[in-house]
Amino acid sequence: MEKAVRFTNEKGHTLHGILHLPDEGVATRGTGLVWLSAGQKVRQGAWRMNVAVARRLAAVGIPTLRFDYRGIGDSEGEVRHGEMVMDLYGFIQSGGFRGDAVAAGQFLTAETGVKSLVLGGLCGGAITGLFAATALPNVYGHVVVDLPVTISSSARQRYLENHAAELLRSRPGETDTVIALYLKKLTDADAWRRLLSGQSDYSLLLEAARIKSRAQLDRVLPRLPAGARAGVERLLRGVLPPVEPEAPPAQVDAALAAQMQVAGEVKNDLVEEVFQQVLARGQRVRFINSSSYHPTFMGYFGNTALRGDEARWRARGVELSVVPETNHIFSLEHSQRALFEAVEAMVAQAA
Amino acid sequence: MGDRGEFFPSGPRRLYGFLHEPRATEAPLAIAPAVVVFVHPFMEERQDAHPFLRSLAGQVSARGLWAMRFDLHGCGDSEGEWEDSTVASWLEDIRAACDFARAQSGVERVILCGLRFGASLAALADVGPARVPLALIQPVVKGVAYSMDMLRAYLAAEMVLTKKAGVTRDALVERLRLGETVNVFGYHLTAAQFDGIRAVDLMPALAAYPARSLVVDVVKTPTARASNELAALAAAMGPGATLARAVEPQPLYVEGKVHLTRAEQVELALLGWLETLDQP
Repeated sequence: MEKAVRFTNEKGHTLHGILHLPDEGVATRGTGLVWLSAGQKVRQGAWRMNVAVARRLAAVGIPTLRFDYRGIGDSEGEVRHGEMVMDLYGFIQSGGFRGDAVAAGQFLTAETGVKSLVLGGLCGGAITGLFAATALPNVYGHVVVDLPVTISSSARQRYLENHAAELLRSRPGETDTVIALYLKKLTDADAWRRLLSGQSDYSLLLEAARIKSRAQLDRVLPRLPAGARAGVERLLRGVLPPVEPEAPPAQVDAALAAQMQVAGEVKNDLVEEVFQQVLARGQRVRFINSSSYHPTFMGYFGNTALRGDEARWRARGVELSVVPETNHIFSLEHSQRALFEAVEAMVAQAA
Repeated sequence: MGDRGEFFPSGPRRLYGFLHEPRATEAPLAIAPAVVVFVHPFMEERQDAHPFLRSLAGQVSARGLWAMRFDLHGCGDSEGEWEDSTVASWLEDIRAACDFARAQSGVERVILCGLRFGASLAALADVGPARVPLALIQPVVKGVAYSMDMLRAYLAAEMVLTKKAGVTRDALVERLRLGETVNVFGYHLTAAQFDGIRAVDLMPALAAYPARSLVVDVVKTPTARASNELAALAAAMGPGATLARAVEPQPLYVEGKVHLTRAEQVELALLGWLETLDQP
């Protein structure tokens, strides 16, 4: 039985959702599942993942709620959480929808009379569940799918784009990308029009060229006699200042770190903090990662937060599994099955 | 009662709908009462177009008309699984949604508005008693091309994951013929759906359309080339058809960089056209 429901968050916004109830009724003082949306996608999720999870759980007797956060989908509230999609991600990754998830947990508990809750979701849903858990007294555990462990910020990205020198001096590896992008524009009529009308800012290209030249010089300079080298250095100081690359984050593969930097992503320190709070409350956590996302998870969270042997973590109620050969949205059949099994296993433990 | 989401029947199925009651927040449109029923695009396009369709429905209700959004069988919050749906069942759903919208609003006059393949289905649905005014936003004119896009999406997803193309489009069609499904970003496309989609061709189906209609060509920049296909469709529909051009910086049905929640040019095109509906 699926029922359209609405409830109110702490700001007074009406949130809309679907409550999936078992046909045979809800077990007295049983377990309920709040399955949280990733954020940008509405409450059905990619490929209706959230609908599929909720139906499977209701079929085994677990009432399940999925809903739209404030301003998303059908729910009331401010519809813009920043100018760029990355700002919305950053908002979610810093607990922006915590209050909505808390309201959902309270609503499901009151509506069905369940004793304990499992919270779960993919990506933004996963982290929202962790944030909400500290405000809900009856959370048994979490199903955390591809937990976002970095924080997105278009503001940071825009800043770097507008401060070409800083961007390229800290990330000299990006000069090739910048130059390639400009070369691509040579065949673009609109780009030529913007250049001729003075609308283009080519400072980034100029800076990329300077950094590139400096790198070439750095290869040649050591071959010069010491006296000549000092003279050349002096002459070039104003034109081609030295480059000091920023250090890659510890624990992260260099290629991955470069990729994340280009995407404007930095480590989200809140993740480890909220994870520790969840553990301190005795809640269980089942991480499930797609193979495509696992390196990011480990590099920015797992290698530090989950260090030590697996048996010790299991004893504390923490498990981690990786689904091979799958994408971030778990759209392939084998990953769909793995996801369903992980949710069902956690709920079975709670029950 | 205010805006509300609820389930309603479509034959043996239950569909989810969301009704927007008329409000007097903006100058009302000078037309007789009507309910505008929105038909969503398909698969992930439905998810990504949701903010835009919600906003569009909100704008219509702000101008004094009823608006209803709903999910087709196997889509969104509606009952059923995607792979159990067919083009025929979706057309029945549109009729059921219009009946429900009429009953809830107490207004008999229906206007159908759809986006992408939702527009194509809206154009083909028989929601009686006569053909209704149609607003088609970037409709899929030829189902054959659209079906091929779906298979291309499968191949693209496979290449991203495995870094190589394992099969060809012909092999995927063969799989469908053998009764298998093709996983397009998690949606299991069936042979019945594939064939039903391929059979859609709006050009002959809408020739000399007897009611008023709007075809919206959405382009990215003011200098972008207009769609010849949509211009030809509007011409084929006859003198009651209006072809409008809307410049939107981002696609309406694909997640982009900017957090878009409305498409102002499309809204202007739709509201402007609605305003003229009762004019001779």
